[in-house]
Amino acid sequence: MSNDDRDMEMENRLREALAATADGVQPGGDGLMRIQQRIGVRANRDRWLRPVLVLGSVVVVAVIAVGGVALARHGNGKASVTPLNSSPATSPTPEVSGFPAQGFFPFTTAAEEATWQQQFVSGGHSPWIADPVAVSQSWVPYYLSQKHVDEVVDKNVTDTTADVTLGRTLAGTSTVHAVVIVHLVKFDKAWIVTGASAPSGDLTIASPAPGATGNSPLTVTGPGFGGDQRASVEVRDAETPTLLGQAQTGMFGNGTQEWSATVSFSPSNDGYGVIVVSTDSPADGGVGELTAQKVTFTQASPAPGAPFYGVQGGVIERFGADGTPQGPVAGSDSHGTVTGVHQVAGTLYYTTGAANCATELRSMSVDGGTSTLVASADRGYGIFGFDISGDARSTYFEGGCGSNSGSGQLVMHDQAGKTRAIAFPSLPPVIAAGPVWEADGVHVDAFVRTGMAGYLARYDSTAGTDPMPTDNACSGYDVNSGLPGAVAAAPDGTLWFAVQTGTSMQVLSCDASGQPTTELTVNKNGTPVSLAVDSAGNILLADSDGHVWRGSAGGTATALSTQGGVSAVTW
Amino acid sequence: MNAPGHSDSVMSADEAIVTLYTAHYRSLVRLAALLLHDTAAAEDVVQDAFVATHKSWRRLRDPENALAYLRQSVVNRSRSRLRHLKVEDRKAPRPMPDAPSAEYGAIHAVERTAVMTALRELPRRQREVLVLRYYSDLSEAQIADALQISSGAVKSHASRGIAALRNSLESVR
Repeated sequence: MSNDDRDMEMENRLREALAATADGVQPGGDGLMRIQQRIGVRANRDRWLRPVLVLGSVVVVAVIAVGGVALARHGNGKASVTPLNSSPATSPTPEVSGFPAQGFFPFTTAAEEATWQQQFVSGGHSPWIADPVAVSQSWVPYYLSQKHVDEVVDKNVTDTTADVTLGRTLAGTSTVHAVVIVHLVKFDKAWIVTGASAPSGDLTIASPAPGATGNSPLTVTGPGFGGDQRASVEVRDAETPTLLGQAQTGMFGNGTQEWSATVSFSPSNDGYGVIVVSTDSPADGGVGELTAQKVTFTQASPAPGAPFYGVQGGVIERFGADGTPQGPVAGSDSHGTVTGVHQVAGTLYYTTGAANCATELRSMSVDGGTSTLVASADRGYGIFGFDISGDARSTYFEGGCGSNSGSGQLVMHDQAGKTRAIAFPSLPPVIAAGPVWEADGVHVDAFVRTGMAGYLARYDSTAGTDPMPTDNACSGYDVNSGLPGAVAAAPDGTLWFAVQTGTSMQVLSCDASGQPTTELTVNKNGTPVSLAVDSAGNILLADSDGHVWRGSAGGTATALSTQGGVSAVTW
Repeated sequence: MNAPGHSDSVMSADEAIVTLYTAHYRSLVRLAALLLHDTAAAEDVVQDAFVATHKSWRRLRDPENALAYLRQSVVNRSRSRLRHLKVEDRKAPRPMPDAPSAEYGAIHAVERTAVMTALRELPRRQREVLVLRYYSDLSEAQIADALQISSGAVKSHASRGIAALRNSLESVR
């Protein structure tokens, strides 16, 4: 091999290592909020300082009144107030003892708030969350993408609740028009948005009820009012500025009993969204009024195989059918950080040790307790990928950690206690997904990467030493369609694998003749990292962002709300 | 009353920040994390860069200019942060997350560990050039702009860096 060839190989290795390392970096979800808060502080300061510096004698008059107001700025910088012909909408009932049922921004759970509060108390992270006006001014302009609606027209704040009316300056005028009343409830130290209503009280949502469950397509209705007009109906993610879907109502007015729009969308992974309905202003065509409420996306109904187990935060966590964490398996972290898990007939097998180098394969009951050592990696090596067959045969891929980096071996223990290993003296080739036992008890399948390509290799546990055997476990599959990121053996020994296609993730099975069948498609261009299939064909798929989907062969994939990064899954 | 144009320019900057954040925040944090090996510090650095970009928006105007400014700011601030950490001799930065699962881990831990360890041993300039070239996929001209060095220097650092990595990894096999 020439130096040029070796440099090219090095460039590929570096590119892959950088991409893989970078993929493991998940920025916190509050980056935009933190930036906006810092910008907002300066912008607000500028807004106050600039007139003084430029005009010297201008007096800025702030007017705060109870109820809806329209505030007009005149050329002399003074303001006048015009009451709106309105009756402010009623705030949702606060639930100060627990996390507000209708709360959705900036947090959807008490756990998220607790995490923020720890940072808030210790280091002052995102202090704006403790200010109801700042929360409102972050939510409406940036998270609902109503960028001009950021002027405080009115506020009514008690110890436990707040209503903040925001408006915008009508184009070509100095009139500030009230657009929305944001309703907030104080939960511990944070102010949580529980909904928003139109200042006039006319634009309301009749169905679904606030916080109700719903899924795509979602029909939203409300009573007609006013003259001929349309409303825009959006379904957005609750905690990020992501528009999931939108639709327009038909024309409606006072003579219309009900307006209606049906929105198709892909649910966000956290299970919560917000329905936003807005009308246009006849004055300038910008947003007129706006109302919003929480929606809970329908989760998969319980199915055979549920609940499931996964690795979350370095321990084995038990999850309900909908993905809700039900608590860690006691004792699973007693030998270090857990990195992988596989259940066989009520026994959890898992890799544990250092977070980046699991040195042991252990087992314990699904009920927790003490664990049993199944296998240890050779000194200087870690276990990356393993499988346990129904009759307790184990196989795993060892890779070098630290000074041994760059080499590995595939280890296969049969039921009689015999052990064979196939050396991988230099990487690549490397087993990047798997290994898994076939039903015959002789062969082990794994995805072997050979640089930028690879194949589903089929190893003979009784013979052969080549890390790249000629036998292909799924000869009909073209890896140009997507590189497998996770493989699994169904209880009947059938090989399943998950690939990233460039536009989605697909789960495929491979029959005995080596022909693949696409079983499930997840509409996210993610990287599969863990796959599990039960005897009924129920599928669990985790990606490198820590998200989990479930589905069945030929069915649709449903995102589960696991409330945090999950790195491995098993039925 | 606002000064003429004041309100418009503030809104434009706000809008630009959201647009840039949506398109580039994650990749910039990852770029900084590769340079710093510390996710929390990387986020701080990138947020600082966004705030600075907002402040400079009147001058930048164009999103492409803003992205180049952001990238340059992230690299410079990462370098300053590393220098500060060395001067202060503070505790080791919080490491980045590890490979997400055992199944996923083989290529991403065995291979990655070796390559990333060797990368961290390189001189700073070589490391920056390689990260910008092979993670951010920047051209020589873009790297030169980000690091404020000549294209020839970029080519030289890249070539020496790759050779040094290759030698380092071959020596441990």
